[in-house]
Amino acid sequence: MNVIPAIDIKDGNCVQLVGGKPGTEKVKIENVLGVARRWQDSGAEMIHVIDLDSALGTGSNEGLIEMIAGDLSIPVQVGGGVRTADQVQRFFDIGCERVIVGTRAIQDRKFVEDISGQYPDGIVVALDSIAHEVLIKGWQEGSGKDLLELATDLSSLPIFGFLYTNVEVEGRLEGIDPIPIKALRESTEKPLIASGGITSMGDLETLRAMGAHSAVVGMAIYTGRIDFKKAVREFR
Amino acid sequence: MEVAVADYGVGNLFSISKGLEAAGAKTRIVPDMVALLDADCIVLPGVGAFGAAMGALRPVLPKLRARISSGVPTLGICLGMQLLFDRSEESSGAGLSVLSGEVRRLKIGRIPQMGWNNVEWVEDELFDCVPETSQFYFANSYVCHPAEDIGIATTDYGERFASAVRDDAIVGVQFHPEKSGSPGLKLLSNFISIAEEAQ
Repeated sequence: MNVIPAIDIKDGNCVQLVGGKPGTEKVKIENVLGVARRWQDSGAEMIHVIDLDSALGTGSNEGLIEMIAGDLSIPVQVGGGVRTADQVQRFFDIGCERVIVGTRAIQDRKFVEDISGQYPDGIVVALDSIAHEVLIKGWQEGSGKDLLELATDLSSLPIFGFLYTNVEVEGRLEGIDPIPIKALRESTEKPLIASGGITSMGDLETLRAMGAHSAVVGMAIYTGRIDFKKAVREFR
Repeated sequence: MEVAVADYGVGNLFSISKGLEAAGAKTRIVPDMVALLDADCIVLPGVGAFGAAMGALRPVLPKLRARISSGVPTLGICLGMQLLFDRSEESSGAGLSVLSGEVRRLKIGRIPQMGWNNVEWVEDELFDCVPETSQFYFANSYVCHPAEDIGIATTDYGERFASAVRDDAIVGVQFHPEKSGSPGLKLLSNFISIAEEAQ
């Protein structure tokens, strides 16, 4: 299982929010590229970059993401407000390895079919959920769609896999809820990238035992609850 | 030394240029393949498809083949490694044929292979000082089957395949050193040393 550090960008800074809510910044670091390099130097095998401004409709940090993708010597997985085929293409053009699509993928199956056909195994569908409902628009709205039904349905497309974020536990440092992750593992054979609430080596162990492909860690590595270097080594 | 990085017109070449520059080389991205013919050192990057890349190289094909065969240090990465061989199951039409053998589709497991995998190498300058347990980043559906004994590393992905080959200064790697962190950068720097010695 890969342990992947999260870099969430807002107003050009690397931030960590609680439950994805703007204004709850617990971490704010200006030198985003420096942060990315630090994780790379600590042994990261991939970096997970989310443009929160793009997700929330308050701007774009694409230039900064291009700088990161060009600078690092490890793959970059990128997402946040990706809603058009042009945006997907731009991220691949600047050298990103996987592009995460949320809202549009949840609402428009044909879109997922088209872009995953164009970039087989390059697209990750984000399933951001509270209980079994998938959220959209930067976690600001419910989609009315069921997590497991969506996962089963989209599994037949040539996407790389799913990024599951449990919004209820995201950024709270209270641990993960294994139940929805287990249910997802039973609903799809696609790789599952788990995120949200991962707080301890024990959480990572639980995810590995459930067969998660990778685990995205944010708050816990920025606050020192998880020793990132150690985690990467242990779960590699 | 100046390294010419072939730009077949698809994908981002910044990380490979940056990796080579970190290894002490100067790089030049060449969109016109004619420029490969007077290069001191050639890198064929791993972006795009076999047919399209060979289409871009076709106008200079016999001369480029002669240049590489005459000993101009060349590194093929992923697709770039595959181009060095005779042919590929991916597209009809010949490869560069500077190494003999063919390229076949992986048969088992999830294809493409996307992710980090082990590489087991024999002693070779290309892997000098690369820590033994290092993994490298792969993104491929096809692998090379060399007809001659030029393999210097193998990797297991449902089948065991040649993940690095070397014939003097002609080097091919199936993984992406430019995306493999510090072991990858070390390998690029070893390639530059091999290239410098070959001059």
